[in-house]
Amino acid sequence: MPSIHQPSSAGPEAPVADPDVKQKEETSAAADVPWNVVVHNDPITKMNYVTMIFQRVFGYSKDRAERHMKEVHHRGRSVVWSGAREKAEFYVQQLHVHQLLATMERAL
Amino acid sequence: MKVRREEKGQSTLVFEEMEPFFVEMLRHLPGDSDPGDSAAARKRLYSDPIGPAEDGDDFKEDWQEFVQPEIRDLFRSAREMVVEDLAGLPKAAGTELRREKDTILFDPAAFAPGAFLFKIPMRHAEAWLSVLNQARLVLAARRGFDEAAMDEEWPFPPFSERDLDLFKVHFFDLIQQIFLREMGYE
Repeated sequence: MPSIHQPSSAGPEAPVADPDVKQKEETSAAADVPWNVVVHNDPITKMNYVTMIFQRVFGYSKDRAERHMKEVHHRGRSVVWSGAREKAEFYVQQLHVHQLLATMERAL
Repeated sequence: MKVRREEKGQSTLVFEEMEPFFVEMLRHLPGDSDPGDSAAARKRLYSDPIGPAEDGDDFKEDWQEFVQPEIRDLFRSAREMVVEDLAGLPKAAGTELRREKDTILFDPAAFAPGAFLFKIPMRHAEAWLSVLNQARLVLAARRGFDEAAMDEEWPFPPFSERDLDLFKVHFFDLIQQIFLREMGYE
Protein backbone atom coordinates (compact mmCIF):
# COMPACT_ATOMS: atom_id res chain seq x y z
CA MET A 1 0.00 0.00 0.00
CA PRO A 2 1.49 3.33 -0.99
CA SER A 3 2.39 5.71 1.66
CA ILE A 4 0.34 8.84 1.58
CA HIS A 5 3.43 10.67 2.72
CA GLN A 6 5.47 9.71 -0.34
CA PRO A 7 6.87 12.85 -1.93
CA SER A 8 5.27 13.81 -5.24
CA SER A 9 8.72 14.22 -6.83
CA ALA A 10 9.04 10.44 -7.06
CA GLY A 11 9.27 8.89 -10.54
CA PRO A 12 6.30 8.77 -12.91
CA GLU A 13 5.52 5.15 -11.99
CA ALA A 14 5.53 5.87 -8.32
CA PRO A 15 2.22 6.25 -6.61
CA VAL A 16 1.33 9.86 -6.14
CA ALA A 17 -0.04 11.02 -2.87
CA ASP A 18 -3.58 12.29 -3.20
CA PRO A 19 -3.85 15.38 -0.98
CA ASP A 20 -7.57 14.77 -0.48
CA VAL A 21 -6.92 11.24 0.76
CA LYS A 22 -4.18 12.49 3.05
CA GLN A 23 -6.41 15.15 4.50
CA LYS A 24 -9.28 12.68 4.99
CA GLU A 25 -7.04 10.19 6.78
CA GLU A 26 -5.64 12.89 9.05
CA THR A 27 -9.12 14.16 9.78
CA SER A 28 -10.26 10.63 10.51
CA ALA A 29 -7.31 10.05 12.84
CA ALA A 30 -8.04 13.31 14.65
CA ALA A 31 -11.68 12.38 14.95
CA ASP A 32 -10.69 9.06 16.49
CA VAL A 33 -8.79 10.70 19.33
CA PRO A 34 -11.02 10.55 22.37
CA TRP A 35 -11.80 13.75 24.22
CA ASN A 36 -12.14 14.17 27.94
CA VAL A 37 -14.83 16.25 29.54
CA VAL A 38 -13.27 17.84 32.61
CA VAL A 39 -15.11 19.56 35.45
CA HIS A 40 -13.11 22.07 37.49
CA ASN A 41 -13.49 23.08 41.12
CA ASP A 42 -15.43 26.16 42.04
CA PRO A 43 -15.79 27.10 45.71
CA ILE A 44 -19.26 28.60 45.28
CA THR A 45 -21.26 25.77 43.71
CA LYS A 46 -22.47 23.36 46.36
CA MET A 47 -21.34 19.74 46.32
CA ASN A 48 -24.80 18.19 46.28
CA TYR A 49 -25.78 20.45 43.37
CA VAL A 50 -22.74 19.19 41.42
CA THR A 51 -23.64 15.58 42.26
CA MET A 52 -27.19 16.15 41.04
CA ILE A 53 -25.95 17.61 37.75
CA PHE A 54 -23.67 14.61 37.13
CA GLN A 55 -26.58 12.27 37.77
CA ARG A 56 -28.86 14.14 35.40
CA VAL A 57 -26.46 14.99 32.57
CA PHE A 58 -24.63 11.65 32.41
CA GLY A 59 -27.20 9.37 34.02
CA TYR A 60 -24.62 8.33 36.64
CA SER A 61 -25.58 6.54 39.83
CA LYS A 62 -25.44 8.66 42.96
CA ASP A 63 -22.27 6.81 44.06
CA ARG A 64 -20.46 7.47 40.80
CA ALA A 65 -21.62 11.08 40.66
CA GLU A 66 -20.39 11.62 44.23
CA ARG A 67 -17.01 10.08 43.42
CA HIS A 68 -16.53 12.59 40.60
CA MET A 69 -17.80 15.43 42.76
CA LYS A 70 -15.31 14.55 45.51
CA GLU A 71 -12.50 14.33 42.99
CA VAL A 72 -13.39 17.81 41.73
CA HIS A 73 -13.47 19.12 45.29
CA HIS A 74 -10.24 17.52 46.50
CA ARG A 75 -8.11 17.47 43.35
CA GLY A 76 -9.48 20.51 41.59
CA ARG A 77 -10.74 18.59 38.56
CA SER A 78 -12.26 15.35 37.43
CA VAL A 79 -12.52 13.71 34.03
CA VAL A 80 -16.22 12.95 34.06
CA TRP A 81 -16.56 11.47 30.59
CA SER A 82 -14.39 10.45 27.60
CA GLY A 83 -15.35 9.75 24.04
CA ALA A 84 -16.11 11.26 20.66
CA ARG A 85 -15.54 14.97 20.27
CA GLU A 86 -19.07 15.79 19.16
CA LYS A 87 -20.57 14.18 22.22
CA ALA A 88 -17.97 15.81 24.45
CA GLU A 89 -19.07 19.20 23.07
CA PHE A 90 -22.66 18.31 23.86
CA TYR A 91 -21.81 17.37 27.44
CA VAL A 92 -19.74 20.53 28.00
CA GLN A 93 -22.69 22.55 26.75
CA GLN A 94 -25.03 20.75 29.15
CA LEU A 95 -22.65 21.34 32.05
CA HIS A 96 -22.41 25.04 31.17
CA VAL A 97 -26.21 25.23 31.06
CA HIS A 98 -26.03 24.11 34.69
CA GLN A 99 -23.24 26.61 35.36
CA LEU A 100 -20.47 24.14 36.10
CA LEU A 101 -16.92 24.99 35.05
CA ALA A 102 -16.36 22.38 32.34
CA THR A 103 -13.87 22.09 29.51
CA MET A 104 -12.92 19.48 26.98
CA GLU A 105 -9.41 18.32 26.15
CA ARG A 106 -7.80 15.58 24.11
CA ALA A 107 -7.30 12.39 26.08
CA LEU A 108 -3.60 11.46 26.11
CA MET B 1 -39.96 30.39 57.67
CA LYS B 2 -41.69 27.07 57.29
CA VAL B 3 -41.76 25.01 54.12
CA ARG B 4 -44.24 22.36 53.10
CA ARG B 5 -45.34 20.58 49.97
CA GLU B 6 -48.91 20.96 48.72
CA GLU B 7 -50.38 18.48 46.27
CA LYS B 8 -53.69 20.09 45.33
CA GLY B 9 -54.05 19.88 41.58
CA GLN B 10 -50.41 20.69 40.96
CA SER B 11 -47.45 20.04 43.19
CA THR B 12 -46.47 23.25 44.94
CA LEU B 13 -43.77 24.29 47.37
CA VAL B 14 -45.28 26.51 50.04
CA PHE B 15 -43.22 28.91 52.12
CA GLU B 16 -45.14 30.05 55.20
CA GLU B 17 -44.49 32.54 57.98
CA MET B 18 -41.71 34.05 55.95
CA GLU B 19 -39.61 36.67 57.65
CA PRO B 20 -40.05 40.00 55.85
CA PHE B 21 -36.31 40.23 55.37
CA PHE B 22 -36.22 36.91 53.52
CA VAL B 23 -39.10 38.08 51.35
CA GLU B 24 -37.04 41.11 50.46
CA MET B 25 -34.00 38.97 49.68
CA LEU B 26 -36.04 36.83 47.30
CA ARG B 27 -37.05 40.00 45.49
CA HIS B 28 -33.37 40.63 44.79
CA LEU B 29 -32.94 37.28 43.07
CA PRO B 30 -33.64 38.26 39.44
CA GLY B 31 -31.39 41.31 39.61
CA ASP B 32 -28.65 39.42 41.40
CA SER B 33 -28.62 36.69 38.77
CA ASP B 34 -27.92 39.16 35.97
CA PRO B 35 -24.19 39.60 35.33
CA GLY B 36 -24.82 42.99 33.73
CA ASP B 37 -21.57 44.64 32.77
CA SER B 38 -19.44 42.75 35.28
CA ALA B 39 -16.68 41.08 33.26
CA ALA B 40 -15.91 38.70 36.15
CA ALA B 41 -19.53 37.59 36.42
CA ARG B 42 -19.93 37.15 32.67
CA LYS B 43 -16.72 35.15 32.52
CA ARG B 44 -17.99 32.87 35.26
CA LEU B 45 -21.42 32.28 33.72
CA TYR B 46 -20.09 31.92 30.18
CA SER B 47 -16.83 30.09 30.75
CA ASP B 48 -14.41 28.73 28.17
CA PRO B 49 -15.34 25.32 26.74
CA ILE B 50 -11.82 24.14 26.07
CA GLY B 51 -8.70 23.69 28.18
CA PRO B 52 -5.79 26.13 27.85
CA ALA B 53 -3.52 23.39 26.48
CA GLU B 54 -5.72 22.95 23.43
CA ASP B 55 -5.36 25.06 20.31
CA GLY B 56 -8.99 26.08 20.22
CA ASP B 57 -9.34 29.71 19.21
CA ASP B 58 -11.68 28.91 16.30
CA PHE B 59 -13.66 26.56 18.50
CA LYS B 60 -14.00 29.23 21.20
CA GLU B 61 -15.20 31.74 18.62
CA ASP B 62 -17.81 29.28 17.31
CA TRP B 63 -18.85 28.53 20.87
CA GLN B 64 -19.32 32.21 21.62
CA GLU B 65 -21.26 32.72 18.41
CA PHE B 66 -23.52 29.68 18.43
CA VAL B 67 -23.62 28.02 21.85
CA GLN B 68 -23.45 30.85 24.35
CA PRO B 69 -26.48 32.69 22.93
CA GLU B 70 -28.52 29.51 23.49
CA ILE B 71 -27.26 29.28 27.06
CA ARG B 72 -28.03 32.98 27.57
CA ASP B 73 -31.58 32.39 26.29
CA LEU B 74 -32.04 29.49 28.71
CA PHE B 75 -30.85 31.63 31.60
CA ARG B 76 -33.16 34.44 30.56
CA SER B 77 -36.23 32.23 30.25
CA ALA B 78 -35.51 30.70 33.68
CA ARG B 79 -35.23 34.22 35.10
CA GLU B 80 -38.54 35.21 33.50
CA MET B 81 -40.25 32.24 35.11
CA VAL B 82 -38.88 33.20 38.52
CA VAL B 83 -39.97 36.82 38.02
CA GLU B 84 -43.45 35.55 37.20
CA ASP B 85 -43.54 33.54 40.45
CA LEU B 86 -42.16 36.44 42.47
CA ALA B 87 -45.00 38.63 41.22
CA GLY B 88 -47.19 36.60 43.58
CA LEU B 89 -45.09 37.60 46.56
CA PRO B 90 -46.83 40.20 48.74
CA LYS B 91 -45.03 43.46 49.28
CA ALA B 92 -43.23 43.37 52.59
CA ALA B 93 -43.60 46.78 54.16
CA GLY B 94 -40.66 48.09 56.14
CA THR B 95 -38.07 45.79 54.59
CA GLU B 96 -36.68 48.20 52.05
CA LEU B 97 -32.95 48.69 52.28
CA ARG B 98 -32.00 51.76 54.30
CA ARG B 99 -28.45 52.95 53.95
CA GLU B 100 -26.54 55.03 56.41
CA LYS B 101 -23.09 55.85 55.06
CA ASP B 102 -21.68 52.43 54.12
CA THR B 103 -24.00 50.45 56.33
CA ILE B 104 -27.33 48.82 55.45
CA LEU B 105 -29.87 48.97 58.24
CA PHE B 106 -32.98 46.91 58.82
CA ASP B 107 -35.86 47.04 61.19
CA PRO B 108 -35.37 44.15 63.67
CA ALA B 109 -38.99 43.22 63.06
CA ALA B 110 -37.94 42.22 59.56
CA PHE B 111 -36.34 39.14 61.10
CA ALA B 112 -39.38 37.99 63.04
CA PRO B 113 -41.61 35.31 61.50
CA GLY B 114 -44.09 37.12 59.33
CA ALA B 115 -47.43 36.40 57.77
CA PHE B 116 -46.02 35.99 54.28
CA LEU B 117 -47.09 33.04 52.22
CA PHE B 118 -45.34 32.23 48.97
CA LYS B 119 -46.13 29.37 46.60
CA ILE B 120 -43.89 28.03 43.85
CA PRO B 121 -45.13 25.33 41.45
CA MET B 122 -42.72 22.39 41.49
CA ARG B 123 -42.76 22.40 37.69
CA HIS B 124 -40.79 25.66 38.02
CA ALA B 125 -38.18 24.02 40.25
CA GLU B 126 -35.61 23.70 37.43
CA ALA B 127 -35.87 27.41 36.70
CA TRP B 128 -35.50 28.28 40.38
CA LEU B 129 -32.46 26.06 40.81
CA SER B 130 -30.86 27.67 37.78
CA VAL B 131 -31.57 31.26 38.82
CA LEU B 132 -30.54 30.68 42.44
CA ASN B 133 -27.26 29.25 41.24
CA GLN B 134 -26.74 32.03 38.70
CA ALA B 135 -27.29 34.61 41.44
CA ARG B 136 -24.82 32.93 43.80
CA LEU B 137 -22.18 32.78 41.08
CA VAL B 138 -22.74 36.35 39.92
CA LEU B 139 -22.64 37.77 43.46
CA ALA B 140 -19.50 35.78 44.26
CA ALA B 141 -17.77 36.76 41.03
CA ARG B 142 -18.60 40.45 41.50
CA ARG B 143 -17.24 40.38 45.06
CA GLY B 144 -14.38 37.98 44.43
CA PHE B 145 -15.62 35.57 47.10
CA ASP B 146 -13.30 32.61 47.45
CA GLU B 147 -13.25 29.48 49.59
CA ALA B 148 -12.25 31.48 52.68
CA ALA B 149 -15.18 33.86 52.20
CA MET B 150 -17.54 30.93 51.82
CA ASP B 151 -16.29 29.53 55.13
CA GLU B 152 -17.16 32.74 56.96
CA GLU B 153 -20.11 32.80 59.32
CA TRP B 154 -23.40 34.10 57.97
CA PRO B 155 -23.20 37.85 58.41
CA PHE B 156 -26.01 39.59 60.28
CA PRO B 157 -27.16 43.19 60.15
CA PRO B 158 -26.17 45.89 60.22
CA PHE B 159 -24.56 44.91 56.97
CA SER B 160 -21.88 46.32 54.79
CA GLU B 161 -22.70 45.93 51.09
CA ARG B 162 -20.24 43.04 50.98
CA ASP B 163 -21.88 41.34 53.96
CA LEU B 164 -25.29 41.68 52.37
CA ASP B 165 -24.02 39.95 49.22
CA LEU B 166 -22.39 37.19 51.27
CA PHE B 167 -25.63 36.76 53.20
CA LYS B 168 -27.52 36.38 49.92
CA VAL B 169 -25.04 33.81 48.62
CA HIS B 170 -25.81 31.73 51.73
CA PHE B 171 -29.54 32.44 51.72
CA PHE B 172 -29.94 31.48 48.07
CA ASP B 173 -28.07 28.28 48.86
CA LEU B 174 -30.58 27.57 51.63
CA ILE B 175 -33.45 27.90 49.15
CA GLN B 176 -31.54 25.75 46.65
CA GLN B 177 -31.15 23.05 49.28
CA ILE B 178 -34.90 23.07 49.87
CA PHE B 179 -35.53 22.53 46.16
CA LEU B 180 -32.89 19.78 45.94
CA ARG B 181 -34.47 18.00 48.89
CA GLU B 182 -37.94 18.26 47.38
CA MET B 183 -36.63 16.96 44.05
CA GLY B 184 -35.09 13.94 45.81
CA TYR B 185 -31.45 15.08 45.61
CA GLU B 186 -30.36 15.47 49.21
